[in-house]
Amino acid sequence: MVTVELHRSQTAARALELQGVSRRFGGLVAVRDVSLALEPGERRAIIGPNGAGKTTLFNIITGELRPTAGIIRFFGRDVTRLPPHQRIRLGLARTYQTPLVFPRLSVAENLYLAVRGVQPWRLSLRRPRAEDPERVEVERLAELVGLRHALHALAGVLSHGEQRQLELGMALASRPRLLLLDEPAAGLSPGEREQLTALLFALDTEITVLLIEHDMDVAFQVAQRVTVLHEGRVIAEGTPDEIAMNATVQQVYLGGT
Amino acid sequence: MRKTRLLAALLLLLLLTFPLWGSAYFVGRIFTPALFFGIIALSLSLLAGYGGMVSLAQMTLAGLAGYGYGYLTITLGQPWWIGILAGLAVATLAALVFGLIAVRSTGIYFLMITVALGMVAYALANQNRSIFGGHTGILGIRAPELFGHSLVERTIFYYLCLAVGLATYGFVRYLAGTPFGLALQALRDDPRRLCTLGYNVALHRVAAFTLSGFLAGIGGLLLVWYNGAISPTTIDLTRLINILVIAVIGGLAYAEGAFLGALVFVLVTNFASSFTQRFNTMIGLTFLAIVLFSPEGLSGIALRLWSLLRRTLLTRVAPSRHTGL
Repeated sequence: MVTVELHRSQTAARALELQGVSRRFGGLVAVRDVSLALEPGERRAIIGPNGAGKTTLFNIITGELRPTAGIIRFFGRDVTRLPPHQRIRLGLARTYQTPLVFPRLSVAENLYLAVRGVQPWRLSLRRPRAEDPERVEVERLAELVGLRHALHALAGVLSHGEQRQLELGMALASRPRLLLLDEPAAGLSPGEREQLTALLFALDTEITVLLIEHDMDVAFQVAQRVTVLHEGRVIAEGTPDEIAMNATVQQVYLGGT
Repeated sequence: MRKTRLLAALLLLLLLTFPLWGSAYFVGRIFTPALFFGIIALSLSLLAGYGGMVSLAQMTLAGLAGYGYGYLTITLGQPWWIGILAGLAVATLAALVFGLIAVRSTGIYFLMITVALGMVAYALANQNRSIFGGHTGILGIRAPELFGHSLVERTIFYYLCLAVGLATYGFVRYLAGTPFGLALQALRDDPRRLCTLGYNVALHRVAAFTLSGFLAGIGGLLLVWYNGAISPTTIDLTRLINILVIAVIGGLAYAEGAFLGALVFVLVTNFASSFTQRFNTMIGLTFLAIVLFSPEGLSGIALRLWSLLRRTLLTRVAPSRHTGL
């Protein structure tokens, strides 16, 4: 009994824990026996060549894909069998490699939906009023991600960079405990990259962040620890300095396979 | 914006005074059916325009409301208000069941499942005698009577249909800005994204379908009062497709389009027969022309004409305000 309690309190301390997670697509094993543990407030980067299984891993964490093996725990709770929308309501949020926003809705409406998504009565038949706390929150988020000027523009007409900002705003709208960012810097101009890095640094330190990033500057600046994925496997894990010096990683990145 | 409001007010005035200057035939036989068919088509506009779900079962749901009203008032001899409640309840519940079955699929598969469900209901109505009255259906259905007047007296019924039409139209427009409506539009554009914002997409689809069943049921009650009877013919495949034709002619994505399409449809079916026996061909050709030349339907054409007109008017009268729009 005592050991069980002890075990539980240990895992409860982890923001995210993957145990032996695998995913097969027919004969292809996209993710192979991945174990990962993130402490609350940790900033972790996942790097790896194309096809390493990074995005598949994200999809497994959010529940958009079911793992063929393994267990996923979110703040100590086993969420392996939970559908995505319920995981999101527990405090998980993500962005996508290609920004996914609702193109025919305005920036404000996109953010509003994100705020409402984790609240009860999310399918209310009452139109929001200007003084509603959700509307105030929408303006705060727009300000935060630098889209205050574009609140009433359709999301579909925003530039790629602005759509990324919007998506980040939508991810933060649910006040997540764990934030998954899939290549947040991809396709951004150098100026936008600096803004993004500043924004990530300014995030509440209680939010745990897991990000996939090709841009080593962003990844190594933001992350305290780095996990390297290659052909679906974790091949290295450590501080940015350790990873930069790691011979296996160098071989993967520079020496072909 | 102000000009659009002015146009809407003018249109409303014309509709409100129509029985005073319109012919009895146009009031009773053209505009009234256009209004209740419009309401049924509106339930499809809601599903398709906001939710991206093209259903062919809307006429079935409307018909089931009619059957519910007929069964309660004629077969069981209950008062009209119980008939209304039962009719709406039947349509809504049927939509809930249809929704639970159909919403797992999307696009053309969703469409086919709704056709199949519609055909199941048709076969059931055709073969069951105890409730649906078999091939004959339920005859002698009477509309409610208030203060000694039957609600289907021509002018009264026109105003009833107009009031209900405006109310349902207003409701659907209002819905667009509510969390329910916004999430519905969002799932049309990207269901996966909506899911990873915390929404249960399947549940929302079912809810939207159920709501559309309620709306279709309202139209179905007006239809059955107008016809005074209901039989399986009311919900056969042709009638199911007619609702889609109406919505597409008017513009599937526009709430206004449902009524505009219904008006055109009723006009063509009434007048084509006076110069040709092939009114189905006429409807088919109208449909084809709309789909080919304006996928947004008559609403799309009307909107384009209106913005063109407004632009030319404004540049002529007040060119300085042009940039403001």
